[in-house]
Amino acid sequence: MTLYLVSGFIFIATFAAILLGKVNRTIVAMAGAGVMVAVGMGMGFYSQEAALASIDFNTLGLLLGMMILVSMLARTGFFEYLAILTAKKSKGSPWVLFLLLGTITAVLSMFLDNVTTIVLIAPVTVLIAEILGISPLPLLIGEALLSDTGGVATLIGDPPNIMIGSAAGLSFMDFIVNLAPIVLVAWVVALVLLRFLFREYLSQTPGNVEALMKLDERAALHDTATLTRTLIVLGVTILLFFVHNLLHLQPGFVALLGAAAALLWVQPADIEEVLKHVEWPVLMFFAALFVTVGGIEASGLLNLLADGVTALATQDLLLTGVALIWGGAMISAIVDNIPFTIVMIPVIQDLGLSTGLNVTPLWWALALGAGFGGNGTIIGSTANVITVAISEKTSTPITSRIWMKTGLPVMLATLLVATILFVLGFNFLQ
Amino acid sequence: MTDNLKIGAWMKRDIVAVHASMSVKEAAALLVDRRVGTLPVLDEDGVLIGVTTITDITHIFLPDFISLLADIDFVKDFGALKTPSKENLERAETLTVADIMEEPMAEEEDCSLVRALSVMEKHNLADLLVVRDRQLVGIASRVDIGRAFLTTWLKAEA
Repeated sequence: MTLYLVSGFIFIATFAAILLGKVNRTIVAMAGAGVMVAVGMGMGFYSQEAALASIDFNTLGLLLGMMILVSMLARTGFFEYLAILTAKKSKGSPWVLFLLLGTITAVLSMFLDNVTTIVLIAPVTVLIAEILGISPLPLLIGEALLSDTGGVATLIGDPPNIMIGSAAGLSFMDFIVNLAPIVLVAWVVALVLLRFLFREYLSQTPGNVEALMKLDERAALHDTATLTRTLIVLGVTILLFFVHNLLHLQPGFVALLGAAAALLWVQPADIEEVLKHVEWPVLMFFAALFVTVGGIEASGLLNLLADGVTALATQDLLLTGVALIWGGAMISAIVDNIPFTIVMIPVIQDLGLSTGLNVTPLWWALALGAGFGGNGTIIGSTANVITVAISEKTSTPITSRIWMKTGLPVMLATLLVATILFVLGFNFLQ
Repeated sequence: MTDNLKIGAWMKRDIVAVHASMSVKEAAALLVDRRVGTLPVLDEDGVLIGVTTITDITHIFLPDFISLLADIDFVKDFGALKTPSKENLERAETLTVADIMEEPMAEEEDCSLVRALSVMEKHNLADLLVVRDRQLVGIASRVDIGRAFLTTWLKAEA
């Protein structure tokens, strides 16, 4: 009992400090992990070996490999090129611009890191809106929401999916087959809803279309040799993801193999620069959370939680899934979907082991809840946080009020779609 | 080190300075009329409390996206932003020097020319402010310091 209380207290304190946000979340998580291991060793429920074993290196490897590939691609100006090319296709129509920029951001973030995609596309979006003389705000919000939503469709689209896939042994194709159809419907619903919410803005007729058409996307590209090689390697890597299960390759290995191949082929002169753009704080945050959650798992506290869910799950698995979608979304919107996902993974695993139930639908429910929940608030996803930070450097910053009127309805609508399709397709999702 | 190799010997003693309460628009007029690039900001007692430059003030009129993008070579036509936006112009009207001034970088009169030039290089300054007991006593531009260097160099040759 004391073990539950002590480990639970360390975890809750870490979680609360992340929620408060006074200290950087990576620092909080590392401190929490350190305290958990030290106290766990002292009280005999956790060890250094167990702490290391609790880190999901497949998840970290996948993230690291993709971050290296994206870092190499980012330096070639490819994202700016793509954004300009896409924007020019709109011929200045705000609605088409909204649709195309939202789509390109969403498609990129289905396969690449959301953060990098937003960091590179959002500034070009501000540029395009400003030379057209329209507000960049709806475009930025649309990009963040649509890319968060799109990311739920694939194994590598967002970090919760990577973790779920890795822990549950679900393949890239499993995600495509089970989640992509739901996400596609949710995505269209989100788009229609945003069209309605931004109706006034999207019916403007901007001037200066000729200035947009004069943007020279080719001038945005710096190093076409690196671009070609990185794109080829990235393409092959993504193809490998589609068949990784057939080849018995872990996704983390596929990503690291891709990164190694791209580095070998391109041989960047400044490898330090390439690696500097890897989001090390994110990787450290994840690793530290794995260790912290490993502590409450080792103390038996998570078993207790799993036992609590068992009663509901054995009685009604469908209802458990729906509860997971909505509960997960609420927690993800308010805090962060990563800690929630890392806690729920061993709980669902335990549930499957102790009851012999097929818990696969619960994995999809977790992915849908954690993924769509991120749309609800400014801090719900990293893409949102970055979009808001970029908008704060413009004359029209995105406020919580604005997000409440756009992000929150989109979250509720996508969750509703997810719930309906989850219930209807429950037998298929097994 | 002779006085010739110190900044005190080469600085200008005729200084154009402002108070923090002055509007940015008045400061801009002063920059234009007096043909200077740097405005030291003094309090009532003549103590140096800040600095602003023509670069800082013109920054107000730059489009938002300039600070966001690493590269803008692909923007051939600034469209709606060919002239400063209405928002930026309106904002400029309301600002005072206190809103935009920065921490001043200053040296004493006996600062060597090499140090003066190095400080300007590292902090990317167009003018270096010179103080005595925190009171502003002079200002030296890159050209002033460059001329000082070249003069001493040419004299040594002769």
